Amino acid sequence: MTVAPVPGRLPAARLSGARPDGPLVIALHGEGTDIHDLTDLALELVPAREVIAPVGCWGTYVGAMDLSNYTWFHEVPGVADPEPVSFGRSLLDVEQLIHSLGAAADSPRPVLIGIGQGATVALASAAVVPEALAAVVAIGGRPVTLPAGAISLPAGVPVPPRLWLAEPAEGERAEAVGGFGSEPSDPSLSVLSMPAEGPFAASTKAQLKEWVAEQLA
Amino acid sequence: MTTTDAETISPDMPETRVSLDAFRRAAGLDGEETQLGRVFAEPPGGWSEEADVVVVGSGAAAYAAACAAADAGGEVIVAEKGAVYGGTSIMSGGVLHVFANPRMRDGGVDDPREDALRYLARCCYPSLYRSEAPRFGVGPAEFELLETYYDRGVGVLDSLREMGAVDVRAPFVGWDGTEAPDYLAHYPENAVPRGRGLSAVKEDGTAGTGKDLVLQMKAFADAKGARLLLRHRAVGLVMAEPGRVDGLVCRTPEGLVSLRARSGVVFGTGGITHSAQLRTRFLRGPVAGGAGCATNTGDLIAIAEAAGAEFGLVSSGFWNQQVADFADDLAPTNLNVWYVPGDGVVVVNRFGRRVVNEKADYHNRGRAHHVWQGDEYPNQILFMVYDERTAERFAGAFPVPPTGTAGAHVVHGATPAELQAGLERHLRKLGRSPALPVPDVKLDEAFAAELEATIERFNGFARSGDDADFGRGDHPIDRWAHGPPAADNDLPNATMYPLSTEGPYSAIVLVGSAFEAKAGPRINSAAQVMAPSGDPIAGLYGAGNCIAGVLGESYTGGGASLGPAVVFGFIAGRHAVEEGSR
Repeated sequence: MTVAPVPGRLPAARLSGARPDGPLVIALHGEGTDIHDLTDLALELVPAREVIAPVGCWGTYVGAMDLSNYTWFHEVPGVADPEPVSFGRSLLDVEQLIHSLGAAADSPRPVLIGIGQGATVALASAAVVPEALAAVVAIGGRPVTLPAGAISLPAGVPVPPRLWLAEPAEGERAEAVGGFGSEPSDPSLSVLSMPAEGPFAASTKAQLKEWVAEQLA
Repeated sequence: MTTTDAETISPDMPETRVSLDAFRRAAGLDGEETQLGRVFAEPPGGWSEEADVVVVGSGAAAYAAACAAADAGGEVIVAEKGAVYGGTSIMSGGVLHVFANPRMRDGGVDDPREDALRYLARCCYPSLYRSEAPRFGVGPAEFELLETYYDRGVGVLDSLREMGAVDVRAPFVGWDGTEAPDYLAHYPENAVPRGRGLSAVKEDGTAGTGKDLVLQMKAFADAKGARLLLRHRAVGLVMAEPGRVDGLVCRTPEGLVSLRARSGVVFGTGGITHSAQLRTRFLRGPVAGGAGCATNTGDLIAIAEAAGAEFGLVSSGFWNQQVADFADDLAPTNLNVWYVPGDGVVVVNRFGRRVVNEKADYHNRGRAHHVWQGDEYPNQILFMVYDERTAERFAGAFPVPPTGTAGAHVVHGATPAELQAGLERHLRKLGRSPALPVPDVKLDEAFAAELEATIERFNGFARSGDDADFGRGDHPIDRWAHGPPAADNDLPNATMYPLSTEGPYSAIVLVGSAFEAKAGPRINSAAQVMAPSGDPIAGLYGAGNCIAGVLGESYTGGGASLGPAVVFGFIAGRHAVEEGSR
């Protein structure tokens, strides 16, 4: 097996998918886990050429204790937004990864999928590189307030950095579909954000697969 | 598994759209230092709020002070610079190193005072230590703090438990079920080498981390009415007359705010390691960043200077190592190379020679970077070299990448010569990054040949179990921190295994870091900040990593940072309420 590092500095796994003509998938794991949190699900949901699964920052201070404890940002109970410095660093690392992969690939734009903290980074990343992504699937993440001046989109990226998320109806299974665009009905990048946590029912997976297929069509 | 050198496939990164400066500003690091360290005769804008005790920072030292003050009936404000609370402590392992502590007492373990003070003197002031001299050769002010730490530790932990804040009695247990040995368990002066490290007890009775420690103390302080103010960066003090502090001035997103402190201001604001400027001013030798929270930029330094404080031990730190590629002061965790993972691994300098026991605790291992020889720091940059077997068996133990992943921070070479070439390319790449502290360091021409000889010599040590050069695996902490022996390692010393002599090899560039510094103003046994006159500055207190370390240059064992932080933080909060300036 050959493992080649991905561009940027994040250690990452590269897993072959079943569809040589499919998109790249970038899979961002949840807090306190590693790539195995999401790679199987990503391969199942997306007809992918390859899954790129980076790991965030290692979070254990004694080597022998926990080998799969990686995290994307620091957060504390009772404070809505992540600690800014650590969040900005991960946002930059993921941006660099997406841009470099997108630029090198003669293929469909990548699909970004995240779970937990990875979903929160994925939602914010959608605001950073909207034109470089085919779709964003965020499972169990949350949109965060970015500091003033945190992102500057170059001219020619015609996407207002605004995230539209539909509110789940009262009493229904929480599932929201939204995107970036001038109107909720006309998103130029589609984002699916759902608060649920795994393991997922077959029906949920089927819905997710269908949604991804629609975006890639 | 084979790997490809990152540089062969990695194009230059595109320009970023993410402004780290914007995130830094949002975190309280606004980069405008001109207002720092002012003393005001009058509160600018008048007092906006007041309390008996204003605690600055919100980690373990700060919340220990808040709990102690609130429990004594004091009204408390907690002013935190960052956008989140908890400081470094909430990200940490949460262990407190306390002598003759409640758990030892409850278990009938004796930790005699005389022995403990001798051990402390030996560790904290090794260049002064004399076994037969009064105070073991340590100066009176410094020795008084060692005595205070011994004498007050158990009482502080008992008080925190009795008041209902936090029960710090969980043992610090490792992979083999034993309690952590002191880092200097092997010193003959250490009468009780295990049992001083304790953690907060969680609700379910298990040992908690720093998160539990902080959250439990915060919950108590909150219930007593302590008010937490986020995004309040301390920039100055109000002192109507010299030698007496009346309140704190903070910069907030809404402008300057003055907080009146009827009894005292207690600083628990963490260290200086994320300020490149203060690292250069205070820390001796090459020190590249730290593992404290991102907001640890030493705000007390300028404030204490302006207030007329006397500075104590300023050149020391809790030393550590960091992967050069990640030494940008932005990590979301306490990221450092706390322990070098693996058995088939050596750490060599630019000459290809081992310079340190790779399994030593981070503090003592980190000091290897500081050695000066001839015309240079020959160990400023070190290289962790391991083979494929170690990469697979220790995958995921930072900085070895997890199973199935490759990291651009790892350099690969089929032979030592190829590894040398790869490292030279990698050093050039790191040297081009303005965010990374990698100076002009070149590998010696004979690096590859020396590395081959080093591996051969090390492999002999691994087979015999005896590291004749650095004693790797000879100290209890080496084996405790190494973890369980690798499944295929039945050699006499589990911390060592022969490296492949055929290659391929992997290497990671390491720089010396301080997980935090100990630089700051001196305190006395009441945690009051001292003036050069020998009198305390009334109403000004400090604890934790923002003041001159009470434990000298030592790292006595796991928890040597949080232990004094909590003990002296508590002393400060209590003293302020009971004998404060008003």
